[in-house]
Amino acid sequence: MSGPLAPDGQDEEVYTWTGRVRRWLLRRLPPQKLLPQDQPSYVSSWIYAFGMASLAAFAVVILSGLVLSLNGPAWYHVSSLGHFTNSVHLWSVELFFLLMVVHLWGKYWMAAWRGGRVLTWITGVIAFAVSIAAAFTGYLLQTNFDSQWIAFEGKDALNAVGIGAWFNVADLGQMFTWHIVLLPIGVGAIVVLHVLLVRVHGVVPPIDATEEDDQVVHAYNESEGPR
Amino acid sequence: MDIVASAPGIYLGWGAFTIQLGNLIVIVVMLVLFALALLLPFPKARRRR
Repeated sequence: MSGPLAPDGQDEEVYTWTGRVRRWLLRRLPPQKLLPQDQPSYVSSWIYAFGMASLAAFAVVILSGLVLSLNGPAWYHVSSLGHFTNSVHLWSVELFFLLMVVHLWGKYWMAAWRGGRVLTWITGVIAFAVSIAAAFTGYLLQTNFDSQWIAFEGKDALNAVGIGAWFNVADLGQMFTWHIVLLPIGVGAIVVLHVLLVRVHGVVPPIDATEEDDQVVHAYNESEGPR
Repeated sequence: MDIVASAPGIYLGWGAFTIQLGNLIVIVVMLVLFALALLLPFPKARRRR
């Protein structure tokens, strides 16, 4: 332990797997990239705000869902505050999807998979798909005729593709586990990976920016860390 | 809750095309947001080097 470490850990002698993992992580995602102070000037457009807006809506979804799950259906079906929280949960989900779709359109027309960002695009697609499954299980938890109708419309399709035994929409207890444990963990984990990949590769530059563009070359380079 | 379960919803149709009013509103809002995001100027940063 002699002297301070370089930000990317390159000066450190590495002889264990934990050390190697840390060196790899610091090379891929140094703190300057993880929490950048500035963004390139081409990010100054409202179209770049929709990813973060989706995250904000997702946070409200999780928080309101947490309150609903802690108090239970006997609370959110009868009390005024329960109804209100239930509505906040529904409308934050509506907003989450609305913002996610505008984010998707923006990134599609930017061809945002350019420059080694394919996995960022793919994780976004998976996050969208898993979110749809999570929203579907939410509709099943209304415990009213509407949810009963949706469940019995959906079960034949799910049985036909062979997943009815593990994803039984007529089993309310199982749907609770999918909706408040498994799928939120799934969406959350994919979203975290998606955001980390955005930080690793940086925000995609405009299509007409050249590779030598100063904004592209020095996008995250305050400390001249590795890219 | 009863209202949700019993309300059939408002459907609009043009020929073979049918859409529920709520879904149409959401799609129009998304298109308007997308257009505004491209057209509206973004506020300047307080400090930019």
